Amino acid sequence: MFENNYLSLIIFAPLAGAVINWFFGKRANSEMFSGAVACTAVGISTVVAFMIAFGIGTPHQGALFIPEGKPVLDHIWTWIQVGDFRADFGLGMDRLSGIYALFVTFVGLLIHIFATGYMHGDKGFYRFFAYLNLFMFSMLTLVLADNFLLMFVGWEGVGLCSYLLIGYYINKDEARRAAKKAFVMNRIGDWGVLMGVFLIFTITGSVSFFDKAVDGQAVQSVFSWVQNSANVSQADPFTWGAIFAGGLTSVGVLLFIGATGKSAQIPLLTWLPDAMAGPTPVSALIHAATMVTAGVYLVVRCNSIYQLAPTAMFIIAVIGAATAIFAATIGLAQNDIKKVLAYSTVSQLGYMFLACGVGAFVAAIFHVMTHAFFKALLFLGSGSVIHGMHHEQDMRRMGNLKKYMPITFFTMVTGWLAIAGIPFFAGFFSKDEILYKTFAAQGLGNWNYFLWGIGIVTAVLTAVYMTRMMVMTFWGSERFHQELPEEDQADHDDDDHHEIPADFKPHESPWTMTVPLVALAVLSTFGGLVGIPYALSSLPVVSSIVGEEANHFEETLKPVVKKLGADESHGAESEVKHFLAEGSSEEAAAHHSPEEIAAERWLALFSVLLAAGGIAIGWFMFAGNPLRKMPKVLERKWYLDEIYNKAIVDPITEGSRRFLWKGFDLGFIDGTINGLGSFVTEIGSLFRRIQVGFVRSYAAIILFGALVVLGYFIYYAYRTIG
Amino acid sequence: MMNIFLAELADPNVSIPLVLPEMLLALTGILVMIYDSIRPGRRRVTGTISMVGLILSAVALFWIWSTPGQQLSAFGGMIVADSLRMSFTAVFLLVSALTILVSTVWVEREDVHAGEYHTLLLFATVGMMFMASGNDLVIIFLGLETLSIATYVMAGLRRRDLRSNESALKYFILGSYASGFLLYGMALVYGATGTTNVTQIALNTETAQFPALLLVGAAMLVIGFGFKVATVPFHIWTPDVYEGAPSPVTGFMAAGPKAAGFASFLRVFVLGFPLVVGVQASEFLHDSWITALTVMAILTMTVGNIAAIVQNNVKRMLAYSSIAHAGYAMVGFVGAGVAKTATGRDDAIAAVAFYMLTYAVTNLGAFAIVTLVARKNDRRTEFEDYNGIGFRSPVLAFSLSLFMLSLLGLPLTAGFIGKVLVFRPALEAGTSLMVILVVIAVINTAISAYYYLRLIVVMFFRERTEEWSQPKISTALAAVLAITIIGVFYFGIFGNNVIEMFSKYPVDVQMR
Repeated sequence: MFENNYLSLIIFAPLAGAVINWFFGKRANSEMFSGAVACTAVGISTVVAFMIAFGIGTPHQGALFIPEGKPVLDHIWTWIQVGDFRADFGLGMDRLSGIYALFVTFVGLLIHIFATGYMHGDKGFYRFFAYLNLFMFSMLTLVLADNFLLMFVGWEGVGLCSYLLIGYYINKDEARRAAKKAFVMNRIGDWGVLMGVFLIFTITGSVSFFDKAVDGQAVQSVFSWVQNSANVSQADPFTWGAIFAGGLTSVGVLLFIGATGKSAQIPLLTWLPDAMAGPTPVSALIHAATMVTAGVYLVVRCNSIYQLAPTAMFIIAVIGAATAIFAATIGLAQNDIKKVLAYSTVSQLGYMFLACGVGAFVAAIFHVMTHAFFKALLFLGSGSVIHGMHHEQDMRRMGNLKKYMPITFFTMVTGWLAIAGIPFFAGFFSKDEILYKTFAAQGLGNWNYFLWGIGIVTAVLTAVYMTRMMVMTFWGSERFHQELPEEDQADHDDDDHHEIPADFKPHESPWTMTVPLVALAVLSTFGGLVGIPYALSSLPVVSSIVGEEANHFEETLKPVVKKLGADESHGAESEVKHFLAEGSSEEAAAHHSPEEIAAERWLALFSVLLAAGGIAIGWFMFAGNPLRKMPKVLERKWYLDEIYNKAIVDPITEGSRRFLWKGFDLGFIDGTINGLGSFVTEIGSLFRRIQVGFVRSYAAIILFGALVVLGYFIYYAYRTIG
Repeated sequence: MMNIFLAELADPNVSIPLVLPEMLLALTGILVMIYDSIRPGRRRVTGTISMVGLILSAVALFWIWSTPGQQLSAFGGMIVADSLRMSFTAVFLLVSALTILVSTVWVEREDVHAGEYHTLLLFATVGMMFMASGNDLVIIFLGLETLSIATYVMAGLRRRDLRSNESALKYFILGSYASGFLLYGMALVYGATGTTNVTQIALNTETAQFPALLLVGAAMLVIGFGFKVATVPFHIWTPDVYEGAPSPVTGFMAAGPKAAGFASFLRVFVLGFPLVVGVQASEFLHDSWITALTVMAILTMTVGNIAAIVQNNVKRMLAYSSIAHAGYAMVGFVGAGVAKTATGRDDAIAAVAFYMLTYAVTNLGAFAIVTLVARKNDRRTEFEDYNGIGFRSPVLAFSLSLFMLSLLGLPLTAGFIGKVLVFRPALEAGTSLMVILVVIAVINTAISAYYYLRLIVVMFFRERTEEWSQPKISTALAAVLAITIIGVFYFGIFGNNVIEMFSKYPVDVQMR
């Protein structure tokens, strides 16, 4: 076991930053001060995270390299210990949380720097950074927690910060509504997580993530309980009944309900697009790169549970695929630049869950990471555009911005190519791996081909809508004074969008904003090279550059995603073979049969063609006519909000008003209380009039009680006599 | 058996260190009394002397606590030094110290004769300490009477206020009445078992002279102790007395004497009347007191909570809430009674002590603010008087909200850990009666949210119609708030350290 007490610095530095900004930010009244405090705090986290993860200047190996995926632990204090139940306030960095901590801190740092430029001149500057730091604290607690309970603290914390930051423009009605919506939808998911954790404790008697020894007491982790061969045989069958059986499948489904809330999957997806009412750096940090991937983290963290719960896996795969295509179609028809990216995020999250569902947990995390790079880049780029356009978000009033904002343009191009899946950009490798693993998944009947088909269509759609966005924003004619159709104009009434002067020219953003863009563009371009699948890295052309053993990412995560059980009715057998493969390239080659490699290569080529085709379709459809009218049903998001309102929200509101408020609250509770109250008052006044009888009546009541107690005991006493 | 007692009488194995905390505090009480008769009206001096006495006593207590190899009993088994005694004594000392600090405001405002007040408070504390350290019915009764007589007078300290006088008199009459039950119960138990020593009582149940007497005696004890800890239906005196007594005294009575009652109640029943399998008298006795206390616990928390909902007076609301909390503590008590192992039992006893500690800290914090808001003669104690003070006096309002949330049992506050710990032993016993008890306790917690949150709502969301002049927070009161707020968080987050301390010296009675 490796202890490193500096681990807590990663979470407590942002907390300290938040506290300082909260208490002194207003008094200091200086953007310089608030920005510096916030960025330094996250900077400290970043440096420490990198040091511990890579073992720079630490007495032990880096957390990413410790054999068998053992974690670096930091037991801060024993939070609660009652009988068998024990929850520590303790952190642990293993390979999975290490990767998360790395990209969360690093992308977070870039976005903090970006925000100092973007939020310039805002009245609540210090408040914004206090929230942002608090978010970093919560997110890192979520990721680094060494047990479910502390993870839930982080889980709730990010929910709270998300609420605060979506509603940051407190004077905008849209923002307030969106914040409330996000909060309520997340609560539904949180219920699932809580129930799941309760059930986990009931089943396994532990809430810890890692085997460890604290206070001389050995703690068995949930997962080693599950992996224990005696318990593996408890794998649930692939039946719908297993969901309600209270076994591991129920745990899996409950935790996934939480994941759908946090990661905006069907049916809890509508809050994320609305959440774009928050400031753009918030959208980039919370609603694209980090918080929304917490659901994926939870699922991958619990992969040993899911491996024994095929029904839950299947549900995840189907929901993921459905969300991916559903959100992609909506993304086609949005005119708000941030809304396009929001639906794109939902769609990409769908991909990640699809990967989890078919057992490709490593691919899911890989996509989480590359997505964090390119989606943060795209969001920050859109922020830069919005900044340059004086808070105009409607793409119909943009156009030809490449002339005015060259850096933003070039960086966003890399993001665009990455998400579309053009080879050697980051998104290509991760998306391709997910599609291949879906195609090759076993135990799903023929469902895997169907899911793969959806994935392919989604990939095309992704390329189309991203091309549309790029074309509308950066190419074509300048439409800065374009009149919008009436209905849409209304949406922007309460925006802080100012009337654009006639001689308006967009401007490039300051360096605080462009530097993070460039850094993220580099990552979006080269970040995928850490995880080149074997099928591609063994191509002669590629291996001559990167070497055959190029999939460092999968190597790293192997111990976290251990394959369980010998014979498993469901899930990704080929995946298993990958995991069973040990280090050297010969063995790797041995476990990659030539047919598989060939299939993977063909599929990769196919998806490249599709991506190129999608871009071409997008280009030809929108380059000439960027304002092409899109189908109404897509623009209105399949009327999902309307359906939810009609089917769920309205009945609940109505029911609450009629029954709970008027009936129960006013009628029953108030009635009882008023009734009881007047009853008590009357009795009281009665007593007060006969003051002498007061104590006596009390004595009588006591005597009465005494007689009851005595009688009860005497009954037993009588039995002792016989 | 008798020979052992004779031997003990011949050599009573006196041990001064073991009663040092009590002795120091009693001496301080006498000192304050004498000083006050020579130079009356020096409230700061008497207060300081009292605080010093409490601190010395605490030092002595922790010395006993942390010295390994300490003898476990002295004075012929009448005084013991086990965790039950230590942990409860720590609660009493903390309660007294906080009460002295809280009362500074009231003492100055109403020009109370502080010397008397401090003396009485110290003697009451000594009484409570003997109730916890006594392992003998006689010592327990002596402690209880010392405590009671002092508190009767304290309740009536506002001599010119009719409500205070009424409160004192009612308390005195009903208290004496309950003491009668208690004493008679002790006599019957002595008659049945031939001893007043709790450890011996447990051993003698098998050879009880006349088991029926033992059962009737136990019933009388239930009534007597039930009155002290205010369980339904013996709670009936509480609301009137709590409302009439001065606010700091009310806070003291809800935290200190109640905890003391629990200390003796626990010792006599859990350790004195344990379940001895195969002995009919013991089985009947155990069975009947467990069932009786379970029913009383259910009634106590339900009645306390429902009555608290309809109150419009904050002090009365807190009085009923204290009844409800006695009900929760009894869940742990019953849990200790049904524990199957000695460790389980000791953990449950430590849990009850911890619960009383968290309740005391939270409750005294709340009463400190109530005292401050109430002004002279406790005039402003209605809910209406708290309308809209939230952002006008944020320190008071946020602290009071914190205390309400802790009383409710929100996670990260002391109240949460306290509730978890007392509910657990009962749940672990696993019998259906215990599970029902815990389920009802949890439902009651939910009910209590209504009136605790109501105070927060009133403070933050109601418009204030009359003007509000911010009360001045004196240094002493600021200290109380600091201690209680830190306490609420410390016990809520690091509660484990305290629990470990509280179960350091297991009680010296083996399970059979």
